[in-house]
Formats: sequence, C-alpha cells, structure tokens
Amino acid sequence: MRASSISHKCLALIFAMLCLFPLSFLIVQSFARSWNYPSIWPEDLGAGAWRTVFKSGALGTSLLLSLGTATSVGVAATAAGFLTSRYIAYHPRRRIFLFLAYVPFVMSPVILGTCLLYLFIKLGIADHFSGLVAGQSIIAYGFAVVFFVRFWNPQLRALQDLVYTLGGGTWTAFRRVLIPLARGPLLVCFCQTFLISWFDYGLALIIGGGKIQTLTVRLFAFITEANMPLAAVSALFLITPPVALFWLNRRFLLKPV
Amino acid sequence: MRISGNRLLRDKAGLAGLVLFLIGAVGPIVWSVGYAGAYSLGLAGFFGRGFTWKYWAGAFTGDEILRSFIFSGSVALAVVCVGGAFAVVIVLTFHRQLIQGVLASLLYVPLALSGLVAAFLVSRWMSGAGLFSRIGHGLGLVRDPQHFLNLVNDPLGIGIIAAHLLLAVPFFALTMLQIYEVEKIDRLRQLASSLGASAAQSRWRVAVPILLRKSSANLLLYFIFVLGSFEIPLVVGPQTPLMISLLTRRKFGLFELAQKPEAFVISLVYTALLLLLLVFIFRRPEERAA
Amino acid sequence: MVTKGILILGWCTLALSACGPKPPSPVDVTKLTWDEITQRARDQTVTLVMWQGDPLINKYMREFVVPGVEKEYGVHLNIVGGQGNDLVSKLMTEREAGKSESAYDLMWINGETFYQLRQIDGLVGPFTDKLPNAQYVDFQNPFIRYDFQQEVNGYECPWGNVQLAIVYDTARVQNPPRTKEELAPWVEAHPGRFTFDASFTGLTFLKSLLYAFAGGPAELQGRFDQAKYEKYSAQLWDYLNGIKPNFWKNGKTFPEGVAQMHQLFASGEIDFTMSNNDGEVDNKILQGIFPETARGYVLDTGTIQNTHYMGIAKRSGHAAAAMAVCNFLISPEAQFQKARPAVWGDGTVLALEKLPGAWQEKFRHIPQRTHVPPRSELQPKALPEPASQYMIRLNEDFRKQVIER
Repeated sequence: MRASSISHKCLALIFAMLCLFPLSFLIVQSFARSWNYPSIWPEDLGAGAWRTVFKSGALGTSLLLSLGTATSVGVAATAAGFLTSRYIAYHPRRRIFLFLAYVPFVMSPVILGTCLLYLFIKLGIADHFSGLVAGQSIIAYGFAVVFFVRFWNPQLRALQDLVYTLGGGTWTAFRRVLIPLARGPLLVCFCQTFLISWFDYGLALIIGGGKIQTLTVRLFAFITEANMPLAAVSALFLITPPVALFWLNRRFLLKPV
Repeated sequence: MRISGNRLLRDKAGLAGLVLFLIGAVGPIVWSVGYAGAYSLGLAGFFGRGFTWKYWAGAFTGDEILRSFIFSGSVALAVVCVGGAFAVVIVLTFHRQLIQGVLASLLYVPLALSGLVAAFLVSRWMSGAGLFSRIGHGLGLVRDPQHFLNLVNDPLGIGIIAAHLLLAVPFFALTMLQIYEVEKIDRLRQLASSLGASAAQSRWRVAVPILLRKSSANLLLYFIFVLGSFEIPLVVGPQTPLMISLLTRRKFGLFELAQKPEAFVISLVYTALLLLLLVFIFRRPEERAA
Repeated sequence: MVTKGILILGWCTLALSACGPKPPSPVDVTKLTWDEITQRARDQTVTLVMWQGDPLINKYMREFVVPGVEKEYGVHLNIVGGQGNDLVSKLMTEREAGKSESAYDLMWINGETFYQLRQIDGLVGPFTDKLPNAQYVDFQNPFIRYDFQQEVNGYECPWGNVQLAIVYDTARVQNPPRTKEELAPWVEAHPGRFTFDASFTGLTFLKSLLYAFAGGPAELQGRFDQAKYEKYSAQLWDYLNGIKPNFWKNGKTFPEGVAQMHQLFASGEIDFTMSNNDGEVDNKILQGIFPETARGYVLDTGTIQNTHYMGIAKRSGHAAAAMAVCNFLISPEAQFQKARPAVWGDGTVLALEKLPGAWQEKFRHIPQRTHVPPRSELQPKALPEPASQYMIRLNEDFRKQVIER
C-alpha cells in the first residue's frame, strides 16, 4: 500500500510537470538568444526578444486588438445565445434548431471564411475589425446556443411564469430572475466564446486579410520567419489571458450546466 | 418540456432571438453553401461563364481529394482514440487530485494552448533538430538530426496528431472528470466492490464504459473539429496529402486562377460530410433523449 | 461590475473600428503631375502587402522605410503579410464583389503574380514615368525591363535585383556540385543532406534546372511553349525522382519556405540551402545565423536572375500615396541602405552612371560581399526568367510528378 501510494505520488508529480512543461519551454525559448543543436539548454540567454517586443509595441497592439475582438465576440455571442436558446429549448422542434446551431460551431473556420469572403467584401466589412468580429461571432453564436439549451428547464419556465403572474414583464423576468440564476453559466459561456475568438487564426487570416494583426497572426508570422524567441514571446502573450480566465472560472467550469 | 406553438408566438423576446439566430448563424451557412454551389458550377465568379460540371470533374480527376479526406479522417480518428484513452487513464488515476488540489489547477495550463502554439511546440520538440532529438543525442541514441525519427511534416501526420493531443487530452480529461462526478462513478465502483468485484473489474466494467458512453458525443464532435483543422497541419503537416482545410486554401489561391472553383467543390463535399456526421450524432439514443 | 466593464469595452472597440480618415475621391493618378500626387498623398495611409519571411527585410521596412515615407511625404505606411497567389485571389474576390476600393494599395510582386494581375486588370499603370526617381532606374537592363518575359511597361516599379545562389558550408562540403550531372551523384553519396523548398526559391531552382535540360536560355525564351515545357519538364521530373529517395526526409516532404531551409542548414541537418538573393549569404553570416565558413555560388549552367517590383492595386483608394512610397523606395538613399549587406544586401535597380557623383561613390564603397563572388562574376551565368506559365505549370506539376509520387 505504501509503495503504491509513493508510486501514485510520483505519477502525480510527473503529470504535474507535464502540464507545466509547455509553459516552461516557452519561457526558456523566449530568452534563448542562441540554442543550436545538440544543446539541450540554450547556450546564450538574454532578454533581447522581450526588449524588442516592448520597444516596438507591436505585440502590445496585437494583444489589445485580440482582447477587443474576443471581448466583443464573447459579449455578442453570449447575449444572443442566451436569448435564442431560451426560445429553442422550449420549442417543439428543438432538435432541428439544435442541429442547426451545431453546424456553424463545428464547421472549419477556414472553409467558412473562404465561402463568406465574397459576402463580407460586398457588405464592406472584410479587412475590418467589425468583419472579423462578425465572422467569429457566427461560430461563437452556434456554440452559445448549444451551451445554453441545456440550461433551460421546466423550473426556470415556472419561475418566469410566476413573474408574469405577479405583473412583471419579460425584461423584469430576465433582470430579476433569469440572469441572476444564470450568472455562472453566463460567465462560463463568455469565457468559452472569448476563447473561440482568441484562439482563431483562420478567420483572422481570411476575413482580416492580414490587416487585422491579431496575436495569432503575429505568432504565425514569427514562426514563418523562424524567429523562435519572438514566436515564444507571442505564444506566452497568447496563453496568459486564457490561463487567467480558466483560473477565475474554475469553480463554474467543473459544474454541469 | 415542450411549450405550445401559440405560447411561443406570444414570446416576442424569444421570437427576436430566433430571428437573430436564423440571420446570424443559420443564414451565413445557407449563403455559404449557395455561393459555393454557384461558384463550383460556373454560375458565379470571375471565370463563371454559365452552368458547367467541369470544375467538379476537374476536382475529382486524380485522387487528391479522396486522399485528403482519408488522411484527415485518419488523423481525427487517431486523435480521438488516443486522446480519449489518455484521458480515461488520467481521470481514473488522478480523479481525487483533479477535483481539488494543485493538479486541479495545473490541468488548465495546457488547456490554454491554442492550435498554433501547440503546433509551434511540437515543431520545436519533435523535429530533427528538436528537443527530443537533442536528448537522444545526449543519450547516445541519435547521431545527428537527419537520423532522428521523422515525426514532423511526415506523411503519417504524427506531428499533427501530437499537436492535437496536447489540446485534446486536457479537454477530454476535464469532460470525463465532470462525468465522473455527475454519474457518481466512485459510488458505483464502491457498490461493485461490495458486490464482490475486484478493483480491475470495477474499473473496466463500470467506470470506463460509463465514461466512454457519456463522453461519446464530445469525442465525435472533437473528431469533426480535427477533421477541419487548419493551423496545426499548416505548421507541422506534410505537403501531401493535405488536410481538408489546407487543400481548400491551396485550391483557392492557386497560380492557375481558373482552378479556384475547385476550392468550393471541396468546401461543399466537406459540408456534406459534416452534416452527415451531425445527423449520426443526433440520431444516437442519448441525443434523442436530450 | 465586471459584466458592465466587459460590455463597455466591447461596444467601444466596435465603435472605434468605424473611425478613420476618409480616402480622397478616386481619380486617375496617371494623369496627375508629381506635385498633385504628393499633395494627394499627404496624411494618407498606404497598406503594403509583402512577404514577411525575412526578419532583416522586415526590420529595413519598419525602421527605415516607414519613418522615411512619413517624413518625406506624410504617408503612413501599414505593412501586412501576404504574397503571390493569395493576394491575387483576394483581389479577384474583391473584383467579383464589385468592391470599389481594394484592401491593399501597394504590393510586393513579380513574375507570375504580375502576369495574373495583368490578366484580371488588377494594376494601376503605367505610372513609373511619373516618379522623379525613375530617371535613375536602369530600364535598359533586360532583367529589369522584362518581368518573366513580359514587358513591365510602367505597370510595376522595379525595387531590387537578385540572383539565385546555392549556399554551402566549406567546413562540411569541400567540392560542391556545379552542374546537375555533378549534383545527382553527390546527393546519392550523401543521403538526406540535400533538399530545396516547395515555394518561390525552390521553384526558381527548378526553373534553373529546366534551363539546363533545355540546353540554355535561348530554347525557352519568349512565350510559353507547351511542347517544349512537356519535353524538358519530363526530363526534370525523371531526374528529380531518380535522386529523390536520397533527399532530406527521403524526399517525402520539402521545407515549406526558405526560412525553414536556412534553419535546417544552420542546425546542420542539411548541407545546402538556397537564396533568391545572392547577397544574403554575407547578410546571414553577419546576423550569426550562418557559420563564417558558409559560401554561396551559382551553377555553371546558370541560375535565375530576377528583379522584384512594387505594383499598385487598380482599385487602391490611395494610389497617389502608393506612388509616393514607390518613389521613396527607388530613391538613392533607400536603394543604398538596402544594398548594404548588414541591412539586406539586395541588388539595386539603379543605373549607377545615372546617379549624381556623390551617390556613385557611395554605392561603389558599399562593403563588398566576401562569401559569394561579386555580381560581375555571376552576371555571365545569369539566366532570365522564363514566361510565367512555366512557373505556374512547374508549381502544379512538381506536386503531382514529384511530391505525390
């Protein structure tokens, strides 16, 4: 028993190290001025890449742009998904609507973007922030509907009806009952839809046309340039907000909706 | 609970939500399919000269598209099977530590990786001059980079699978952890033990079947995600066969401009496959009950 | 509180996205005087789309060109990544959608992209005669006057001139192969040590080999000849497929771009790399990317010499500003800066004899490259680009006949 307890602890330690390994590697890579084969550890460490980033401010601009895009998508998709799912959840043809909601959610963003590019150009929103938000929102909206459909149940319907019976309207029901009850799921959905936008590269490439320099677009440019320290710095910028979001929402994420 | 049609029609906020859904989510998909169809049949686009099957015929000349779909499907299947297996092992081994404690927090770190970051990491770890090769060199197992295993940009898609596993395993583990708690698998295993089952039996006959059955929809959905992935094969994938999204982009941006409609042919075939897979998911008994 | 903050941030960013200065109303810039052009250019933002695969080129653009055009013309230059076929595809889609103003103003192009853009009438021109600094450009040089056998006719502005060089490390390779006849046995004797990339540089190498099979440039001059292409490309594919199993990764995959090739060379995975820019060897050694023992050379049968250009999108809303940027790029100052090995090492498109005396001296005193023969030595082995369709066909057939076999 003692031996299995020790081996279990060792396994847990190895697992923990594996979880941290990607992050640690990126940190080391970002400081590696020279890291030639066959060295396992960089021969020369320095903060040159970080200095470049802070001096030029370009990554900072991309970070803000990505934050703005992801926040817009998260807000829009969560709100729309919450509203729409309430109707779909109680509809006799709920399964058909749910099926339709899955389609944009699971579709390849690149293929969707390729087909939508003409429409977005016609609407004048291609190569613009609004176009990228619109494109990513299509996918995030589908996700939000799927996410919230399981939230609605007969008890919530009954509470809503009680509000109507007591003289309240739809807005009162939302403000006083539904939204407070849905606070946890709303936050989780916002985080998930935020991440759908945050991690996106395909739509940023196609709809953004290279003009919307999100963090993912910058990261890919550094990878193509074989500029590993700068790529690592961009990757760290890309990871940090999601880690923070997950940490803040852990207690909601583990609960079933 | 199903509500009557009249009641639904009186729900103005709900109707607004439905209209928004039809315009904002369904509409773009319908438009995409329509536009892709028109373009692929010569009814739209710069070189569109009227109805023709030539782009469809051209797209299916040779086996490039078939090989792309088979390759994408194989990679997706490998990710789901291997990722699912790893996740089951992790949840069964560490489920207590994953509910509370340090491990519970640490599992979110790899979850924060994006496809591009995962691909970047795999290219730095698994290429000929990557970290694993250097460790192998240090141990005297690898002479030089060209003698290391071919794991990145390889025709089997090992690099793609590895990058996807970096993302899939923590995601599957968290999903299965949630199932473990909701289905009270611990209690079921205790019950099985009290009825005479061994630890292995309660694991393989109780825990694993429940975990796999309850997470099957998520696994199938993840299969669809990997099928259409772009960033990861862009960085660590082979030049041939290409995964579906990459092939679509290549055809869209070919030097031979007149072959652009073939990109839309591939998009339509992919969409048809996607819809079929979704129908399959929705016809499953668990989904019918939902 | 947090929710309100998120909502406010979201709406602010959406609102801000609608702001920005309006472009001037469309006018045919080719009919304006230079003074009118520079007046219209002031305070405009030009979007330049270019290949961003080289950090030194990016640095030159960011640190010299961007502030330079701002100072001289009041033009804000916004550089985005993109190239070739993706660029043309985008412009085609804009055309299909009837968009009046293109997303891109200025584009770094040559060859097959120029050919495709002319096909879809996607370029402003002729405009180079309007540029004051065009008086210094060596338009008599056939390598500049013709782009992939098509006369540029003022529809693109020459920017730099380079020749394909093969790079090797003298510490690892003593006698590099100088012909295709020497290359094949070398590859067979050194399995896994040779490759070329699957994009522009690799295709330029293939074109150089195609010329070798054709017995020289004369055979492939002029318009695309289907019969000649099929005859010589068949020999090329047979040759490559014969030695492919001894390429890096058994020839089952090729590096996606030249940056990856340079990395493989620098890490010692392969013994050769290539560059479209013969001046890049010194440049990469100065950066510490290539070893000091690296050297560049060209095949005895010759390698492609190529001029790269700037084109202005037909539907650009800032064509005048784009012309101002072009004029800056071909100024003696910008060309001199770019020619320095420590900066880029890109060949100039200016005819030195047309420059003022002081500039002639400056160009003559640019530190000479020491790791590749001087251009005067490489010039006799310079091959002109064949017609664009050769590249288009090679690109497609390389995949079918080599990669997929």
